[in-house]
Amino acid sequence: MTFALIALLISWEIGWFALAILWPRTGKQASDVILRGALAGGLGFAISSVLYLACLVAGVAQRPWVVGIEVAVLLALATLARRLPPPDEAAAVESPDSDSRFDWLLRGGVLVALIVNANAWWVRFKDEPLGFWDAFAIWNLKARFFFVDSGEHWQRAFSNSVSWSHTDYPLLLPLNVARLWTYAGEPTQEVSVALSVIFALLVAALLYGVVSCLADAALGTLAVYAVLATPALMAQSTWQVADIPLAFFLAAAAGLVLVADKIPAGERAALGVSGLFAGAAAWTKNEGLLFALAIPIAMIFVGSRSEFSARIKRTGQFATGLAVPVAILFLMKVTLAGENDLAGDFAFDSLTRVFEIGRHVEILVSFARALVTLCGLPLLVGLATLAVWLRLRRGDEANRNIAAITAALLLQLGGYYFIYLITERDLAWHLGTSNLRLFVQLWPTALLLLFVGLRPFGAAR
Amino acid sequence: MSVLGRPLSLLVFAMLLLLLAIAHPITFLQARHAALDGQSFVSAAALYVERYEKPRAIRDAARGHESIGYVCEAPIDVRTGGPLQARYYLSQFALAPLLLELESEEAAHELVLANFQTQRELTIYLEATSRRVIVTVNDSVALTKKHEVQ
Repeated sequence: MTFALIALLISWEIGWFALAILWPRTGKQASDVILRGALAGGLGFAISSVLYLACLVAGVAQRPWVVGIEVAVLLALATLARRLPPPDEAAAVESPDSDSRFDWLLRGGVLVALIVNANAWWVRFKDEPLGFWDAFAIWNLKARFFFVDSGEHWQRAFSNSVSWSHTDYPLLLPLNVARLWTYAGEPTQEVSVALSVIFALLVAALLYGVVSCLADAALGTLAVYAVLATPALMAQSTWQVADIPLAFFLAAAAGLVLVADKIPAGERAALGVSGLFAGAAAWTKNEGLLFALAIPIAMIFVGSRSEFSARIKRTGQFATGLAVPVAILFLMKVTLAGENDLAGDFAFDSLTRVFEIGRHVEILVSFARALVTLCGLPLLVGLATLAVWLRLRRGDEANRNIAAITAALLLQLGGYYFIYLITERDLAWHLGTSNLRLFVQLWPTALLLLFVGLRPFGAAR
Repeated sequence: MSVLGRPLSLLVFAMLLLLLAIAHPITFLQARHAALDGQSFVSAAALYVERYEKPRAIRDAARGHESIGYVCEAPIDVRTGGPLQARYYLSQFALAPLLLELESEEAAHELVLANFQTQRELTIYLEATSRRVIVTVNDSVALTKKHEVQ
């Protein structure tokens, strides 16, 4: 376990220095450090997964090699980060941080909620150490192939004999699990569940960082409360599946587009890193690829009142960051992955289902149920009341990119809707087995939009 | 009105959200405790099932059966069918690397079906995966009988 902890530290540091190179910042405020810390955590996992895949391909995925290669990469990144010229002061986000006693009281509440949730996480883990169905049927199964057959037969994870385990799924999560097992020296479930919980914590830290930077520290803390108050998100934190990691990367990509609006001098770098996180989302789960396409489309056609050419330019900056992870994903899909089950089942006749009113009703009802199950009525009512009480920012006051991210989120939801509409599977089964998890993927981004869009407490009403 | 220099409304909303953040894990723990304790089994389990969205097949089959508290924690997903199918899936997960050593998929499936013909073998698998499991072994999906594998 000690080695696994070291692995977590190494990947986080790799992410920290990579972020420092890609998006140099001068901000020293707590919210800025927490934001960068959360982003570094996710970026570190993305980079580590690619390094581990490279070790597998090279046939050197044994502990001494993996550790050696990662430490070498870490040292190289750290050296490069220190040699870069200091960033432009204007590229920093000036956050309205607050250090009043009241704000510290609020942050203490986060600790209390975390302790209570940690107790539930522990019990869930003891009850179901192998996690949710998809964890042992898909994600950890792949990791087991990578770990057990790391020498020469790890490609068996993509064999047709295990086609039921979705051999086309992206690999960020299983590669990270296998990497941690390699460090630990054995395939322990503790490692797998710890990774699962860490992503849930990263979601909370990310929301605090972005909302504190763009709105208000108190609203940032309330956003963390909202994450911890979402029953389905907390319950799934120990499931060891890719939905919460995907939720983190989607929210990170969206959050960085919002942050970019506030720092004209650092906008280009922020958009590039946003693209990188959107690519990491695609490298986590197939749904992430849809979001990686939805954001640039929304950036071009929705929101910002700038000229069309400026929008194209900003979208290009986003695409620069997106290119590398998508290229890796493309290579994986071409050289390793099996056929996608939904694409394999697709027939043009399926499109006629869009005219079946009953299917629309069934999907909409299921979406409504999923939303209520996801957060419970009290939280929904509480958030709606908060929105009415504080009111949304308008016009010049608002972040120009909120409309674009909202549009991207709706496009994503529309994509899910369309897939359900034309699915070859039994619709009730398909909705019942996946709908709630899809809402979990989008919920942190939706919370981010809400809290960034609210006027701060105490602002003139 | 203000509290420590911040608006009272902030305190109210913070308390509301914090309460919700604490309430749902406590509800989960209480429901689970009641279910495992054997006290008011069905009601506690129903709360557990409804709140945490277990598959509909379990929920339907669970009505009127006291075993629900245990069944909720079983890793074998009843929606996949009866014990044969459960055995098929279990064996696939356990033996996937081994299956790939075989030359044909048919041979692999024969191995799957042959591998868990007895409860003894199933027990060995379950012990190997360190899972605390209760499995139904009757022929239907309905959870009329439960066996705790020691």
